[in-house]
Amino acid sequence: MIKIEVFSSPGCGKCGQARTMLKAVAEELGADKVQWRDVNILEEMDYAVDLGVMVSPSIAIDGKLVFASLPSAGKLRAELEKRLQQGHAA
Amino acid sequence: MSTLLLVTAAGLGLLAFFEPCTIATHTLFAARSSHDVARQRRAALAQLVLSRSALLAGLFGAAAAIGLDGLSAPQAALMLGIIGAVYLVTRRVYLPVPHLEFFRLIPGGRRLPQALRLGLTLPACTLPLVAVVGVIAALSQRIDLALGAGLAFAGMFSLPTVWDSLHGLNAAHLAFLGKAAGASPYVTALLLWGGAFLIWQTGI
Repeated sequence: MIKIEVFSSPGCGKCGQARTMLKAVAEELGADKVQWRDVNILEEMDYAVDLGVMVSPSIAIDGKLVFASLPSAGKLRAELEKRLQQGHAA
Repeated sequence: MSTLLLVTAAGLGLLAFFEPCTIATHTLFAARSSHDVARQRRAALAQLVLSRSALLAGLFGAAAAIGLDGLSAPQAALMLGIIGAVYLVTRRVYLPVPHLEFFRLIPGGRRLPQALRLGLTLPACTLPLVAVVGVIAALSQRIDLALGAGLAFAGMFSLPTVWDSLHGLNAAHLAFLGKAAGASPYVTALLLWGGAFLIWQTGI
């Protein structure tokens, strides 16, 4: 299962849109294949710094920062499909 | 006019830090730089403050140079009322307004240090605040005052980041910032509506 983490701050409209888009993409791929977690940067600052998050929103996949800014739905889908093909679904 | 411009610039500059689209990025920057050695940290903070000061002084200075002959009290009250409403709307609806990344205008700007890129960016949620100060600067038609307003806005916008970077961030402080980020659009709307009400009542 792919683990996706969306780093955002409270009240951030752009982050809310990222979450909505991400969930829609994940649901298309199958809820059993993708797990997501919303991370409040201000609550998990050390973790965000450790991963190299510099702006909000950012998206980490499987514990690594993959998107340092808001990706398009297509880019996110392509990244997830690539990872699923590489064996995450096994 | 001079007091109004400088006080507004300083107040809205501080408010800009607490807006939801800026607070996390700046706090991340402060947390990261607080781990740097003192010399690197000072250099990064100086880059942030100086680049932001130059950008805002330039923008407000240009506004003053262009000038604005007058703005009626109803027009000013309406402008503040609408901007205040925008802050409340953004709590519910995402408005696709991009951050203004002035560093992209510089050749190789994307490779600049993060401090400079941060300083040369006006986050989307701060644009209305910058616009309010810009309009007052234009009304003043005083370039020296407008430059001062740029420095005041930039200084207060950067102050929490500088403080956090120098003093570090503990859990209680981060919790306060989280609450502040959630409340700031409401505080901003109330302040702007308060200003609109004051203008409407006094006609100034």
